Amino acid sequence: MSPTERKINARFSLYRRLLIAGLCVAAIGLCVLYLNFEPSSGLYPRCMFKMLTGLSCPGCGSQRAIHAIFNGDLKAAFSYNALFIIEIPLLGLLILSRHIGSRQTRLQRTLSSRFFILFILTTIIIWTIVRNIFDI
Amino acid sequence: MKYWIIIDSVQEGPLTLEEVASKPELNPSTPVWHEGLSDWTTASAIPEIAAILSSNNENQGDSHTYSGQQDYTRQSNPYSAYNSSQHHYGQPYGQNPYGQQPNDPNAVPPMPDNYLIWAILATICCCIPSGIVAIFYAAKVSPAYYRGDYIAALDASSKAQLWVIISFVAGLIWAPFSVIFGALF
Repeated sequence: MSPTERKINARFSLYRRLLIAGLCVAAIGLCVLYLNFEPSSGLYPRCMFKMLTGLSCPGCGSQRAIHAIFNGDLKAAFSYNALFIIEIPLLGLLILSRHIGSRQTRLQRTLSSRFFILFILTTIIIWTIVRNIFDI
Repeated sequence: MKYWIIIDSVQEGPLTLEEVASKPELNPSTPVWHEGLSDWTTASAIPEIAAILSSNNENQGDSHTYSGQQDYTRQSNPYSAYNSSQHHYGQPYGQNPYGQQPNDPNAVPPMPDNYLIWAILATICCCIPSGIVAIFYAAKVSPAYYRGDYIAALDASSKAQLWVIISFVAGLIWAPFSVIFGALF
């Protein structure tokens, strides 16, 4: 290994480690924050879409839903944002499929297919319309 | 080891390290892939190519650019003389670019990332219009890849990535303002 290679490798891994450490700290901090404070109290970011149009976006209610989940109230979480609760396991599956086996597996092919992704897109759009009509 | 690179949206490979080094267009952000990598990366992330790039920079103004580098590339690549006659320009990716090694599963570069996880997160995290564009491009990556159109897949992948980044940047810029608005009203 040449000196230049060694320098590049060392810098790369140090940068990665710092990044991962920083992300872990941020994630733990956010968990503590959402566990202890109710998001409608005013100190949390609000939805741009809702402030501008008065309509709910597909993600509205997810901060309250996170707070409810951390406090063990799945039913309340579901009532704040049902789609968000349904998509947590889906995101888990997507992350898992990336890290297990190669990218050529059947699961990986299904999850990246046009049909599947357009299905998700349609679900999100329908959910947005439905929640605004029925005021969910 | 052989390398595939993309210069001006045209994919070239398999190339030896010497052939890669001889490309005048080579720069730290040139997309590069070689066997064993799970995805495309940039020239600067591959130590042996980064070493060539940095030696090019040191020797700038010198007409015999890689004279010092030549020994290093020969050492690390004993088959370079044999491979140097092979050029496959713009080879479709559904087919195996290695004529001699048809059973090597790593010979075809992997599918570019469709950033679906990030696109869904961006959509849910309240930046809907841009998040939906990201999901739309994510849906185009896999069909293009399995059609054998690697360049189109890579293009859709980078567009999905771009819209994910736009969504998150917009969301992060908005967040502090919304906290202030929330406290005021």
